Amino acid sequence: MTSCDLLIVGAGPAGMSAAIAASGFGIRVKVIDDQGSPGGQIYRNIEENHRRGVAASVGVDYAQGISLVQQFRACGATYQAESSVWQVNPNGDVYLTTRGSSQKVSSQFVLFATGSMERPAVVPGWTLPGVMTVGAAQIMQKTAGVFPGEKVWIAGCGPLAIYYAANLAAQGHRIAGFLDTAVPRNRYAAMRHWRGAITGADYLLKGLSYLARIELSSIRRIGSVTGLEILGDSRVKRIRWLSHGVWHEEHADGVLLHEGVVPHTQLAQATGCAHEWNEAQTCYRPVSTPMGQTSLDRVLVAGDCSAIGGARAAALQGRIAAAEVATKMGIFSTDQRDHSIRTAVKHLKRELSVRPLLDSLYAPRDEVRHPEGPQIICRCEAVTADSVRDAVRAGCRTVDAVKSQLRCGMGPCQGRVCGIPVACLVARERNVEPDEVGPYRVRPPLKPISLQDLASLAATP
Amino acid sequence: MTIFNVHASQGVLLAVNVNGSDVCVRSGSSAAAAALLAGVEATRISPVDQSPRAPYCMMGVCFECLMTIDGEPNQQGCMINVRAGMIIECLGQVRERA
Repeated sequence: MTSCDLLIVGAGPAGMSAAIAASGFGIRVKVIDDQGSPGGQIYRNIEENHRRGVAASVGVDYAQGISLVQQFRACGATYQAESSVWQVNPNGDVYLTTRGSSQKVSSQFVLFATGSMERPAVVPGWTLPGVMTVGAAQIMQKTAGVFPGEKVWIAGCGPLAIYYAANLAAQGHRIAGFLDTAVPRNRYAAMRHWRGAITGADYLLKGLSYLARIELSSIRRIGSVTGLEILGDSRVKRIRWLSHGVWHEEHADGVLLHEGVVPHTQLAQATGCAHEWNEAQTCYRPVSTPMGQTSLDRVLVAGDCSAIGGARAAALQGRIAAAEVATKMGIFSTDQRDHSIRTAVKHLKRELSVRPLLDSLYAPRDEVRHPEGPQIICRCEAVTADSVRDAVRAGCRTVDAVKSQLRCGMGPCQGRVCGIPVACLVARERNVEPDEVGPYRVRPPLKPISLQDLASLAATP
Repeated sequence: MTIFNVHASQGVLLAVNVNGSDVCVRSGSSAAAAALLAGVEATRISPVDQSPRAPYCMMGVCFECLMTIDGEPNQQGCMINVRAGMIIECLGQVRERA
């Protein structure tokens, strides 16, 4: 058993930034990362790519992440890689496994910086081999150095899809096309967030330049896509899309889906933090203060796992959460804390100002938000959207009731993937808000662990 | 056929074994990536509806990439980086790369 003052789960921008700041305040920090090297997903494998001089080919923003990683490595926090946290108790006890060997760490405070995950694009055929997410394709680029083939489609919408397509275009890669599912009507709703367009002008201009790069390239972008179907038997063979009332169909070797990202709240849920529905981002989020304090006194959150804000916002939130921990430990008075984070708070406000506009512009279309039809909504247990709807009509009032009935959310992913669409579907059927029906009750262990993993816990001093 | 173009990448290449065939992938790749780049289409069959499945998220969330790595079953292939000589066993045939 070991102990520390602050245990941080996750080594993306929020986790690294919190570790750097907290170590600077004299706090004993331990960072647990389930990957082999720091960076989270956004800066995945950056140390190796930087060493090889290829980081810039992934993107300028990506390449700049190396400085944060280097500061993190030098900050004095204990960094434990290839480690999976499977249980956190509200008193700060953390159980984790590192390559088959388990341990318990007692920490005064715990910070969850578990980042985001892709919103599932629940379209017919999305479970076929050859269908992956745009995020997955980015990971393949960052780790294996590979790119999609010429008969692969991007289907979806949002900043990440645009960024990835623009990057492909910049490097001269040809793909079959980009089926853009952004809802044109959303532009009108988005306009009421015009103030964010001014403070976030640089971000938006960058986005427009990416769109321009796509338009000027050979990548065929088809807009106003309101329906998607992926066809195949043993693997994806063809893709169908509906645009302006007409269905089209073409050959496909692969499909990269993307419908935005949502907070990865699994750990916060399992620990018992209160969660609320965030309608602006169509997701659940842990109830937290601007400092990152959750409903549990010893537990804080920072970064995308709290609400989607991007890498720069995540780094600022990590810094702010570290100052809050310092205050709770008596290192800072609240005045000293406020002084310490004044600049970070100002920058964070600016970073987040563009979000309402983006959230509104790229709000998921109905088909994705509350799927209907015979397609699979829970991949693990092969539960269809129709059967979830039928279960509600038969009397199931919450996602947990549907879970007991149909097993959706009981598979290996423990509801990570299907949680939000199932909740939206149940809420819509009952004509209530998602707050009333979910989220899934998540119980530890966070990931399947073997009896051997548990037994090794007893053996560790 | 793999949805990704295996192009000449800089850096250290590691030899791993996927379903009995030797495959070279860049260090930093995951075992799941190695299986995909070896041309495997479906890496597992869903025990619930027997449908073919393959890695989807590549970041440890979806659990579609379960495979046997160096004899250990039910490992998330996307969360384990390749080591030289790693033995990766999953469903599916390794295809000749064009």
